[in-house]
Amino acid sequence: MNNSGYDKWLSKVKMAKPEFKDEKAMTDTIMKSIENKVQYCHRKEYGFYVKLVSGIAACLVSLMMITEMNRQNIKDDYAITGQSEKTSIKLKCKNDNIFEMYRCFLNENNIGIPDNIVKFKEKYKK
Amino acid sequence: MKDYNSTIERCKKGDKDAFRTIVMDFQQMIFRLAIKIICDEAEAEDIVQETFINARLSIKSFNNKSSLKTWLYRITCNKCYDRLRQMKNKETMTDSIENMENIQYDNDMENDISNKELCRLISLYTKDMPPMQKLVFTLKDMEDLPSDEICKITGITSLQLKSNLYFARKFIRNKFQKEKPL
Repeated sequence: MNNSGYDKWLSKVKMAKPEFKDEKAMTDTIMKSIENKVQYCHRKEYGFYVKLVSGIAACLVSLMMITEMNRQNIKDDYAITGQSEKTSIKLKCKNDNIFEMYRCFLNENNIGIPDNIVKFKEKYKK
Repeated sequence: MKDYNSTIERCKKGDKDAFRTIVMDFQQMIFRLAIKIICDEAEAEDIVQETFINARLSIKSFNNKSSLKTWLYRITCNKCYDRLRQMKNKETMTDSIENMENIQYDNDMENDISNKELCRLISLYTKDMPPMQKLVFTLKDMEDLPSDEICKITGITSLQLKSNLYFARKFIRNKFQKEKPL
């Protein structure tokens, strides 16, 4: 049995102190999430999506993003959700009414589009 | 160990600053645990948020039977456990390992390793491990928590803890036998 390999591996992972660099940004995001009763989820490739704490599907926000990006005539609209274009369209058809409710929710709670989605949009602007 | 009794009492009364103190003091600790269990940085960040949202929503039911740290660990572990089960179904972990094949591994024990490298290192030998075994192994062998605290966090008996730990260690050692050692 390769004990030395196992011990070396365990020491390495034990010693590691992973951390996120911007503590203040994380604290602010958490506090904002609690205040607005939404969860902001970061995704490197996909930019951003928001999930309601109450459990309403996260895809609703994706739909808002799709609409917003369509409005701005951005081609890679579906990339932001991490879903395929087909799935996004299907969801959009199914959830039009809920989507409107969600838009109202965002407006009522003054939840704007966060900075990193704006950056994402700029990147993909034609 | 800092005493959080008055901070918790303030939180129960809705004091935002008090809760911010708790977030600031524990967010890195929760992130460290979550990333070691989940092996995905973005997922771990999500779990940090979800843990504090849950904590905020249920702080009124916190009764000081355990320490604040144990209570937060328990919420984190529940979230991680659920996430591990979801990931197992979707085989997300397999994908992320394949995507990380090209990451360089530094053998120098003194060097800090990046979050990504750490995820790769842990995934390499714990991939496909049953979720409870992974939880127990992380808490006991990586985080060095005492057994009674792990039982409180995970809600399992000491016998179940021993058995899960035994199989987790065996699982990893078998991987070392089969795969190329570090």
